[in-house]
Amino acid sequence: MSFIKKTLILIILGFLIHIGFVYYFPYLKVWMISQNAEALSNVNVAFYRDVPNANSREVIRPSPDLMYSGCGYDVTYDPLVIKTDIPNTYWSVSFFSANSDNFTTLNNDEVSEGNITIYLFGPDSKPSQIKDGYVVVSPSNRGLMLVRQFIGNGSNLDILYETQSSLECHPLSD
Amino acid sequence: MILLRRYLIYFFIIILIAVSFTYISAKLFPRFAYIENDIWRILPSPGDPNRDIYTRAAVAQYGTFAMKKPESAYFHAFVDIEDKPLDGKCLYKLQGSDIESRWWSITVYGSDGFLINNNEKQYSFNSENVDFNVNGGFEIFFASSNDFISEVSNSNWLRVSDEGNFAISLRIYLPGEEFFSNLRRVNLPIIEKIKCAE
Repeated sequence: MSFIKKTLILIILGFLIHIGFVYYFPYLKVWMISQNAEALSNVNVAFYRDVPNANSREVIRPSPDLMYSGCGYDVTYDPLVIKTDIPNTYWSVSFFSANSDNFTTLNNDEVSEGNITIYLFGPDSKPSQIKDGYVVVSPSNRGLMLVRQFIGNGSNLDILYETQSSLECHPLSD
Repeated sequence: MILLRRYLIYFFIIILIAVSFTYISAKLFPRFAYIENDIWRILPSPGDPNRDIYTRAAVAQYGTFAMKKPESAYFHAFVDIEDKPLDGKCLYKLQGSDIESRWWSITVYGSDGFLINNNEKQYSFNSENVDFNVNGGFEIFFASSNDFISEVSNSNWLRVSDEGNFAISLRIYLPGEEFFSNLRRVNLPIIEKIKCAE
């Protein structure tokens, strides 16, 4: 094999490994976060966080103006049911797939009720017969659901903690 | 044995090439991917499922679980208006006016991307807790030194670390679709250096 041919093959292989690394890096990152955060590795169970401070190390650049809660999910075998109250301040629930894509977000400009029920299905699902809530279909079986509540001037923290504690995540069959 | 050694050399060359591609793309990425608005830079829709693999990897590293537009816009500043890195030994003034949105916030981060430890437990100001001046604008000061902070006749100040540089993030939630079509020209706060410790 000529030197040029050999060099070209090595460059192409190196480039393919580089592309593979860049492609799978977000999966690796989400997996690493879930390994470090005990609450995220317990899938289909809600977790609750205090307002971020200087000791918060789970995720880079946390917002100290938001109160976070959520649940890591695995909908391989069963859809997930998510229920929570909704505060008057800014509130959103966002869904992230296994590679951290934000495939759906709902906020309280779109949801006028004081509480919400969301049914989260796995990829290729064709959910039907859901009449009492919102239906979300995840592009991956595993991922993360994150609730953000804006704390504003901090005067209503008690109410926000109460709202946060209303979050429930459980498989549909439970 | 000779064959094995040759394949091992090929393997290391391939890995070296892969690492070089990754290093070069990481260096070039900010130049091509970010939209710049004065000192601020932004990825227009960091959580978007249709983003390219480089943007997805960069967001996973520097802003995991960022949302897609139009929910929020995340601007970051690492330099002042003179294009100098934000230095913890200096006093800075951020000056701006209210931003049309559901809410916004200004947060200061250490060079590691985490909130900076301080006795005041104050890491940010937002559209509800910042003190606006009579003209409807606001000023926020950043400093590590107590001397500088005592000179500031303003309750809007955030303490930074005197070691190394820091960064400022501006989050804007639900600014409206039109905002995202004009990211280069929307009116954002400016950051200027007042003075530095000798």
